[in-house]
Amino acid sequence: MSTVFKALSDPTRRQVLQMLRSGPKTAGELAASFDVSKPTMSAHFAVLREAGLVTSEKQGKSVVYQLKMSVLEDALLSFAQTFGWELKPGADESMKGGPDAR
Amino acid sequence: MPANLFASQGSVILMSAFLVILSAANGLAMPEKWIAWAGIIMLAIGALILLAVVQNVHPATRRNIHRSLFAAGVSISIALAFSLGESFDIIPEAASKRAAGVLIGLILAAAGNFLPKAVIPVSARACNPARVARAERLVGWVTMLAGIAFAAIWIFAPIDAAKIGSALAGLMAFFTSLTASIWLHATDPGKQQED
Repeated sequence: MSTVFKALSDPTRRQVLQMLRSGPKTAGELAASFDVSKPTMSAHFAVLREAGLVTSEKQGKSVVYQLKMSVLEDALLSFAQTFGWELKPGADESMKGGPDAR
Repeated sequence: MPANLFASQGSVILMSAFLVILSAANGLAMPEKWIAWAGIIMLAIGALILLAVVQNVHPATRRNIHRSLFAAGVSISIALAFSLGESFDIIPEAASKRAAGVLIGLILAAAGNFLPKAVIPVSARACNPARVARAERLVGWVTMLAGIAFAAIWIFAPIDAAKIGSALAGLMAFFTSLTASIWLHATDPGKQQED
C-alpha cells in the first residue's frame, strides 16, 4: 500500500494516471505532455508499474500503458489531486536527484 | 506474502477440508437439512477437481482461480459457522441472517473494487479499450457502492426492511451497470462507423 501512496504523491505521476483515465496511451504520447527527460519519465513509469497502478505491454516499437486501478485507488487519486499530496523532499529514494532531474 | 499464501494450492485444499468438516458438523446438528450440507461437500470436492484441472494454465490465471476459490471458501465457511452457532443457540437467528447479509454486501463491495484492476491486455481486446476501461470503472464504482449500501442496510435496518432494501440496492446496481454498458456500446464511434 505504501508504494501506492508513494506513486500518488508525485504530481507528474498523478497527471500520467489522469491522462490514462481516457484510455491506454503509448509511452511517447504520455512523455510528450511533460517537460522532463526520458530517464525521469521512465522512472515515473517504473514507480507506477511497481505500485500496480498501470500495466505496460509492447506493441511493435512502442510501449502501451493502461490503467490498472481498483475503485479505492481511483478514489485515492481523485483525493490526492484535489488536496495536492506531495512527498517530503528526499523521501522518494527511487527518484534520486529529484523527479524532475534532467 | 499473505496475498500469495491465499492464492496457493495448499490453502484451497485446507479450505476445502475445513468446509467438509463444518458441513459434517452442521449435518450432525441439523440432519434434516442434509441436502444443503451434502451440496456444500460436493462444492468442496468440485473445488479440488478444479485445482487438478487448472494445473497447466498460466500461473497468473491459476493464482487468480486459487484466490477466488479460497475467497468463496471463506464466505461459505462463515455462513456455515453461523449456522452451526445458531443450531447450538450460541448465535440468535436474526444475527445469523444479518451476518450473511453483511457478508454478501462486503463480497459485492470487494468484487466491485477489484473489477477495474482485472485488466485485459490492449492487444487482446476486441472493443475500443478506452470505452471498455470506462465501462469497467463505472461498473466497479456502482458495484462497490451497492455492496456497501447492501451491508449497511443489513447492519442498521429491521430484518424485514433489510430483505427488501438490500434486494433493491442489488437490483439498482445491476440495472445501472446494464444501462451504462448498453449506452457505452450504443454510442461507440467505432461501432457507428461499422453500421
